[in-house]
Amino acid sequence: MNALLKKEIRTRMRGKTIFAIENVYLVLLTGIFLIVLAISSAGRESFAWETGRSLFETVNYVQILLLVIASPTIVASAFTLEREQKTLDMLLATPLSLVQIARTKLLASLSVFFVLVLVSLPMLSVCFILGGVSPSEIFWAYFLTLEGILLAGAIGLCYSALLKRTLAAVPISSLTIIVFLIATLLIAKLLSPALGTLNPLYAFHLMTSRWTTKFFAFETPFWVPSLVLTSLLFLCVFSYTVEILNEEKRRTSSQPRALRLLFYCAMLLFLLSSTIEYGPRSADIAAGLERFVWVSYLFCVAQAIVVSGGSLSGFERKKLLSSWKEKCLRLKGWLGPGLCVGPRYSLLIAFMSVVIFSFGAFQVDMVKRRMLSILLVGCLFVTGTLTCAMLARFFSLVRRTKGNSLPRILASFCFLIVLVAPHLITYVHRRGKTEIPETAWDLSVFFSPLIALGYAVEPTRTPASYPYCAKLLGSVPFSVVTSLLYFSLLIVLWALNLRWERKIRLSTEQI
Amino acid sequence: MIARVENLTVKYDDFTAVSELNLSIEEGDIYGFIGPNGAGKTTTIRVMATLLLPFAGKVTIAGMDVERYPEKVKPLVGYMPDFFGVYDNLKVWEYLDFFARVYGMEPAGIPSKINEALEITKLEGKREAYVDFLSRGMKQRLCLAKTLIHDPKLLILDEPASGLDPNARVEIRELLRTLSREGKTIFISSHILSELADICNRVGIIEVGKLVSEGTMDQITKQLQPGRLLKVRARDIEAAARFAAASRIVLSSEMKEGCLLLRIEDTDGVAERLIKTLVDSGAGILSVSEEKPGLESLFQKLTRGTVS
Ligand SMILES: Nc1ncnc2c1ncn2[C@@H]1O[C@H](COP(=O)(O)OP(=O)(O)O)[C@@H](O)[C@H]1O
Ligand SMILES: [Mg+2]
Repeated sequence: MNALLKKEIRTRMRGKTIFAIENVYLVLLTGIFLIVLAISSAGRESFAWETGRSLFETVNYVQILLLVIASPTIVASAFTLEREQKTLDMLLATPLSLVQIARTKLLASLSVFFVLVLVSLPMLSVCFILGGVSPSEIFWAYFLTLEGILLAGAIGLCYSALLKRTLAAVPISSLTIIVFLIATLLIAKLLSPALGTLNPLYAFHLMTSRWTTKFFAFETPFWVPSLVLTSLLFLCVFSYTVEILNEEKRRTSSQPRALRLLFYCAMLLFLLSSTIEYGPRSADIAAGLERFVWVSYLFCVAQAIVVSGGSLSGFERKKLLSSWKEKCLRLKGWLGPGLCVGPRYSLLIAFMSVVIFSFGAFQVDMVKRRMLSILLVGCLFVTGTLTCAMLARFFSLVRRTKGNSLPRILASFCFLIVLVAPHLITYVHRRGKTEIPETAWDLSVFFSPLIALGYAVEPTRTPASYPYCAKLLGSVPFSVVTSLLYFSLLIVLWALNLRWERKIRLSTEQI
Repeated sequence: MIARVENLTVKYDDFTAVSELNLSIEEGDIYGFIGPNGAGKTTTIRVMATLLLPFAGKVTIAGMDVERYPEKVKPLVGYMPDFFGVYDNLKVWEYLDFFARVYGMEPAGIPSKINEALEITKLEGKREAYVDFLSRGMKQRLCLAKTLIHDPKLLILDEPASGLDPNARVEIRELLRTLSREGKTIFISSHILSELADICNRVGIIEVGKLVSEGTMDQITKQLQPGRLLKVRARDIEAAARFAAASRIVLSSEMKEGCLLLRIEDTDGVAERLIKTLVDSGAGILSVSEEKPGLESLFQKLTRGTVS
């Protein structure tokens, strides 16, 4: 057995908390079981199978609720306890990888709950004997319970890595789980039942009522969306936890944590938006795709601004000034942050291209169109993020005071203006007109990266709501113009950057 | 060369804790890393133990970059943090067993390894005790035992003697000597120079993140106070001072508590000549002795100036 797992289980089993939790749980579950049994057999006349059914449902609802809310309480102390005991450093200095440590901690803390799940087995077999319940239902009920425990545990582990104190991590993670359960329930009722399967209680409800649900425009059994979405969320939370642990090594914050969170959110948002039911399938996909491309674009831009805005902090500035001649190096330094290098972001882009390609590539004649679409989206991403990176770098170069927030804020502000202004301009000039007039002001929408992205996803679409643009463009795709615009902006900013660098260098040389 | 720190710079956000630090540790060294509190010792050590990433520069252990190959470096290093705790509800042998396994030791060899480590740290009697009930000194020794359990080449100990009573300090020092004899390289930090002076063969002195001085104890003493210091007592101390000044071999002279302190070059025959001159001068020399500077005053001298 894994040494860490052995040690964790050993120390935890010798502690008192586990016993308390086990006993409370046993008493609660047995109590509820007996009460329900008493009520359903004493009240009105009923068949045995009806009793069995209602017992089965009650026991499972209670079991899922109790275990899912209780599991993070144990897991949430996994790292905070090590911090409080001052043992984390020694653990991190061992050859165990962060993934190994996080995984083992999760399993060890949850092992108690895996055992507790079995407590309900005798009760469920009573239900089975009474009838009204099939073995497969019992299997899936356990499946949903375990899934819920794992997800809740991952959330607890994340807080444990994020927060410094056990006393903070435990209540916050339990609270998060409760909010999560309520929110997913609301989503299930209001938006999409498929999304609601993230909530094990709702998934169980689906299982006992409809069994199937609509997922990605297909009618699937309840467990498909439940499994897919839960695993995805689990993986996101888990890898975020590992990131946080990794962050302990990196005390200078060039990439704030919040940004990484944003990345995971972007991934999720894509899935979430695709599960919402919109109507005819192709429109559905295009809408989901567009939203996903937008979110990833915003993410890349934010990443570029943050990285470049902070790239000239004190130390870097000194290095820059002393190594003026190393032009190649600086070029790399510019392109790096701009393109958001690092495997994670390339992965995002690659994932996106695959998605764009696979939707619609089912028909052979669409392959060429999809290729064009990927090319255009790529161009927009590269020019857009590089321009923003260059802008942030420029502000970082110009600023006189210390600190990286100002350049970042300024660059974000400029980007927001570019994002909003074209829409504002066209809106002002069309105000009150019923039919869309042909006006040169419409040309400003060429600057809007989001509109361009929308047209890049469907490259053959003509910009019908901007007749003047449409006339000018002819058969040229909309996004080509935007890419070119951003490209020239990029060149201008580059030149500005070079000028300022030169200026700073000269002024320091004189001193 | 087992470990090497090259131009290491570490920052905590905008604060530079260590800047452009260079150290080199040879195999078999007991290297004393000395500096006042807040000098950046722990920061440097955490980089060496792969717990912190350098902002610039690099650390190599056994030729491997700590930043790039942490997983290869970790088994080679035994790291003892400055502040550490122990797990609740775990026995001494279980504690050691855990670390031995985590470091990937052969399961069959572990029990004997545990015995060895307990023996060397004099904890045999505490095998079955729960670690959270040990005394402070025992915990410190247990941590050392943990550091030794996977047979690392390089021990990195961050102030292992801090917070211990004098007896326990002596014990730790003895332990380090034993380990060194067994062929381990030891890198040890402290804020007290005299504590390490007699066991270290090399010393690096750090001050607000910068290396002030590095070398053997002798070299450091020399570097600070060139030449030798002679303490002269005489019946007519004024006359002795005059003659000493006239002899032109004295670098500097100073009166202190009725004695004359003379600094001369450390070359053969110089002291002989000076003493001869003084005796011949008729100032009535009573005694001449060599004055060794105290280590703490040396340390203060080294680290003054840069502090304020
Ligand atoms: N986690 C941290 N965040 C910010 N500053 C720190 C941190 N750890 C240490 N420092 C600062 O870095 C400097 C060096 O600390 P340290 O390496 O612990 O010194 P030493 O071990 O020599 O006493 C100190 O000024 C301390 O305040
Ligand atoms: Mg320290």
